[in-house]
Amino acid sequence: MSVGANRRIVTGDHTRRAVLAGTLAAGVGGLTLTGARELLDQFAPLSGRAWDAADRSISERVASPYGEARVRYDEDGVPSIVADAEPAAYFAVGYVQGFDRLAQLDLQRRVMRGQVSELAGEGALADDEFHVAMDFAGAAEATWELVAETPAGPLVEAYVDGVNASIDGEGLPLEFELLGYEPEPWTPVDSMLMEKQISWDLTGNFGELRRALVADRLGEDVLEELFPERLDHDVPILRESIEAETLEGELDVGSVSDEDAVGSALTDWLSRFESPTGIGSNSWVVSGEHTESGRPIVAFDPHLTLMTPPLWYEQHVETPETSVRGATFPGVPFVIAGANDRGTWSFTNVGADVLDCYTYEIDDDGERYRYDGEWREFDREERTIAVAGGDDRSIEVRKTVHGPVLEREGRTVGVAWTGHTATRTTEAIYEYERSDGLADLLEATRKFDLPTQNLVYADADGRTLYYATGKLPTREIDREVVSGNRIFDGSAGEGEWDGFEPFGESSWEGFVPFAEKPHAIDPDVLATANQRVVDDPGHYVGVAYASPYRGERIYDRLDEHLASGEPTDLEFHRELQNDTYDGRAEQLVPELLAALDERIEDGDEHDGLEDARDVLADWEYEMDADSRGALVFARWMDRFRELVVEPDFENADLDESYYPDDWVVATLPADSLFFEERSRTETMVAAFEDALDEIDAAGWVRYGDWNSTRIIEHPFGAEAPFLNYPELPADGSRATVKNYRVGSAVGASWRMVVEPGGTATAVLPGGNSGDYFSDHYDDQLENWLANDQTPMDRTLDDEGEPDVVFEEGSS
Amino acid sequence: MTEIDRSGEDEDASGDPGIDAVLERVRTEPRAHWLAVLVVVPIGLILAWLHWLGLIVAGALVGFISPTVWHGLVGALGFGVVVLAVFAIGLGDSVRGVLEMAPAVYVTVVSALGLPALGALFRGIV
Repeated sequence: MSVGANRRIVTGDHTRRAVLAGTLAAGVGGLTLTGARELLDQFAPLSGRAWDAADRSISERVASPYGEARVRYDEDGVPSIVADAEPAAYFAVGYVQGFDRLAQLDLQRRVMRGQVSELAGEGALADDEFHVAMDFAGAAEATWELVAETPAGPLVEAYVDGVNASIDGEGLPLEFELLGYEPEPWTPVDSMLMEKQISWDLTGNFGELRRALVADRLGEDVLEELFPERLDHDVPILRESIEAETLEGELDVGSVSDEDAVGSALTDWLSRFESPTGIGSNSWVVSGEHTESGRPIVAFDPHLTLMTPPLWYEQHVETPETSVRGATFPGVPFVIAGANDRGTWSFTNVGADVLDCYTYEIDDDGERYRYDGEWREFDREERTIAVAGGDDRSIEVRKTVHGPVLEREGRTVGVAWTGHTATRTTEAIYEYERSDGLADLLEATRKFDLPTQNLVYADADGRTLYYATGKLPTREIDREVVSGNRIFDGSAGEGEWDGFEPFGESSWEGFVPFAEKPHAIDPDVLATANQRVVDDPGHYVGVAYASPYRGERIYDRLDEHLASGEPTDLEFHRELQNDTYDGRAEQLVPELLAALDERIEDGDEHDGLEDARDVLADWEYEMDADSRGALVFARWMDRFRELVVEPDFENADLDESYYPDDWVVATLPADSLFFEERSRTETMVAAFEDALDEIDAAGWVRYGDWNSTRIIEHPFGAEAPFLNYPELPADGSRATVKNYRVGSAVGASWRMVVEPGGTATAVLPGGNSGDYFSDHYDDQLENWLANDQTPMDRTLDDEGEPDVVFEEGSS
Repeated sequence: MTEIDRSGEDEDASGDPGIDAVLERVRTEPRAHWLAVLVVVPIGLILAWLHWLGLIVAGALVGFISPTVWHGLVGALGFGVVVLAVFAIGLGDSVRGVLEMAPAVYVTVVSALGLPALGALFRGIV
């Protein structure tokens, strides 16, 4: 080989080496200096942070400063906690909740404290601003000051220590690894915040602002037609036919007055934080007269947000004082809905009005408000909201004598909410766990300050109970009692709640006395489905009641069965929870079919209309996942509602969140103003044709193709879709007993059927563990869809080793 | 190709005849090569366990003991398969959950194969 040839080879080799070196350097540099680095830090094999969470398993032995306890998880991942002393038991409860649901605990408190932006960036800022302005944390602090001095206080502290021992001693779940942060220690105030959160979800209602806005934009007549204060039905919870005892008390009746709009920007903003649409529940009780065993039976399914992991956590606690099993919210030590060896208790939402809004005369500088004949400074406090990837935001929290002040685009309201003071609900729930029958439970219910709930209870002695829990405010203007469904002039002292101390301890002296709240002692049969509590309440309760479809169906089914003289068993009540009969269809389908027949006779040639009409005619109004008729009806119903109100609401710049409920739309008369442009019959047919087009375009064949579990999402599901549950077809609609609201991700967040002192069963929408890698992350999902419940067993299996042994000692 | 590789071998020379001889044997004699693989792979696994950059370094080591760049690339891909196998075994019962972690698990698989391959380019430089 010549020298020249050799030189070319060497030169070419240098070039090749340079290219390879450049490629290598660019590759390493690109990976370390770009977003790829974070992905590799998380998911590279062997070293990825995420995999630290993949081999989490709870420690077999844990030191507890509160003494010995044992934990065994059953085949559904439900822990049974056994201890000889309550503090030891609740330390263990905290530990297992911390292990199973830590990400949920931390995220919930971040929401309520307004700290989500610190993780999620500016997208969460508006939510954080609301939660900071409402100062839920301040209310939780006031509550803890009160609860700390009760017998429940030391147990809350033991629970908190258990959560923190779990944070310190166990690996973090996947969510923390993905986000790359570690949780701060859990505190008693955080546990109180959980009470505030669920209470806000159930009672945080700015209905008066919304009503005022509708009246302002569309007129008082439309307000009265679409949002009547009383729906025209005859199935309240406390029916006239119910025979029951009551406590003493003579009652006064309030009056209702008009409203005053405070602006759409403020109302729209606040409406984002109200109780989610469809929040409701079912519960019912039949006395032992109607059961095979001679004991009462309680059935319960709360319709709350469906999410991954579920809102509820199931636990079983055995101490010398009690044997209790049921569901609680992660972050809360005690069983909120469940059973002990003597009784069972459950809650549905009342829809009571426990939030009022006040307007003020405010000075030009916006620094003082007029009250009690003088100018007063707002209570002010600067708070900082940390924002990931952005600058921290400063927000001024302002308060008046009524509570926190909310402001948007220059419009300001003061808010009074019964949750904005110290409340004793934690103590009440603790006493429920230890209750030894109806008398005990009734006494504990006096302390159930928040939220307003339909308590349904039964005990092993055959006693049954309905009681509206929570404090109900009374309001006066010029010494005349008025309803709370209005905006009050705060500067004039209108509608104030006597005995209410925001962010302090209230005396409650101006509230409805306990004995005068709706209740029934030893009712024979009673059903609650968020419908109107009673036709003629002694005191104003509220107007945010659900349409009566579920309540009517439950009462009809119970009445029909009991009239037959056949006793019921647990299976009957589980089957009733599974009922998919839709009262809206019974109301509307005959009329729709007649309208379609007329159109077909007139020679309508819309593709598939005649076939779809036949499907609907053969359908029996059951919203089952495999039903074609249910699909056609569901899509038609939504479109019909839109076509009825959309033109007027759109012109008034009111979005779908302001639409009236299905009952109002279904009963809107043919001569309503909303059918001036297009008749009710024509609107029905037009909606039907639109629905068929939509179904064809989407390729849906059966109801479950649209009505699926795709909406049960993990908070990080958009970024990490594998965290969501699998997509499966679901039964039920927003109007059926088996409740499923695909549009708002709401449904039966827990189902239980209990014979007090006897057998009990339950199921969760997903699984008891929030750990993605756990076998119990989603193992109950299919059972939940079928309402196939498993035993809420309180017996203890003494064979085999416990999963966790807590030993005396410091961790 | 052969000529280029030979010229590369010349430039790979460490200056120490002993080391050069060992490297030559490792790259050309099958028995010596597999012995070197048995040394390099565990080291690579440890490096990969410490940090994802370890996957690149491991690929470079695999390439270093390979006769050519192309052999090195194939060896690095093989190392990636070993990494995935060890990773799956280490996950135990969680492996199914990891497989369902799309699209995150794509990062895992691609990095297991791609990063060692990137590192193996080192063979073409030295």
